[in-house]
Amino acid sequence: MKEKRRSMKPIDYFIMDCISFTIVSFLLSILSAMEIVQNLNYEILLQLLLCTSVISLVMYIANRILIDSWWKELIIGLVDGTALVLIIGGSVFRWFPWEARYITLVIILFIISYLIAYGVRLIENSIISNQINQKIKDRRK
Amino acid sequence: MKITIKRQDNCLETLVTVECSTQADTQTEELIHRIQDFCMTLHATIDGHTHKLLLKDIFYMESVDDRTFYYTEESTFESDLKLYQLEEQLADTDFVRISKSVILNINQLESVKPLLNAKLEAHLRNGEKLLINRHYVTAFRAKFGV
Repeated sequence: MKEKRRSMKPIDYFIMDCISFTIVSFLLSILSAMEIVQNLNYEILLQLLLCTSVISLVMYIANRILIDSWWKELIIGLVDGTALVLIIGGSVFRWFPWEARYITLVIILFIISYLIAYGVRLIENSIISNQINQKIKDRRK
Repeated sequence: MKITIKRQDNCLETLVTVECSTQADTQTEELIHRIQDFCMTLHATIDGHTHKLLLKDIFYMESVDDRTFYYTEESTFESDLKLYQLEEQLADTDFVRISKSVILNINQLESVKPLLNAKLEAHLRNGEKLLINRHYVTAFRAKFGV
């Protein structure tokens, strides 16, 4: 491997932010329909957008640090993201009481959202690779 | 398209002439492009000796500690040119920048593989692997018309 420096641009984090916000909103809508989450309104959604944006910003800053493996990056993203959700959601916006049940639910929701957003980017990358590999084969014919 | 090949015993240098319309079709333009790429050369040194390298034989070019190297199947050559100069010079060829320090010859590419950190990994015909940074993926795709 010749190149190890990361080079994701701010736009990549913005896209990740949009995907995360959409997924979390969708999951919360389902939980709201099931009456597990109550009082879901526009204020909470705006707070949620702020929360996902702060997480993306922190991930962007963390990305400036040289991380040499994908799993370390994944774990660092999960840990700092979970901490931010708990701090912003629990302490600043008071979305949930500090009880084990709610904390667990929030952590699970965050992990699901994070992994789906990560997965979407992997799928996008895989599609690009397949297209290029097909072109390489075509050029050889 | 018609192809005429004249073989002569007393021929000292191969001459390729393409006769076509000023607005040639895509196939002809591609042929011209391929011939130009095939014949293009770059000067580089190895062990103090200067060599003329055919562009098609270079797998990739890399900048290391402000020095530029060309990698072929067998050897590594050093160039006086900077990577950005090469990038400009080779803009219309099958060479493309894939990271801050590497320009790749896409004709020497075996395949690409997606990585878990949103980058691509280029597998070359000589077995080497290079990383394609996300920032350069758009230009890389454009070379393949994707």
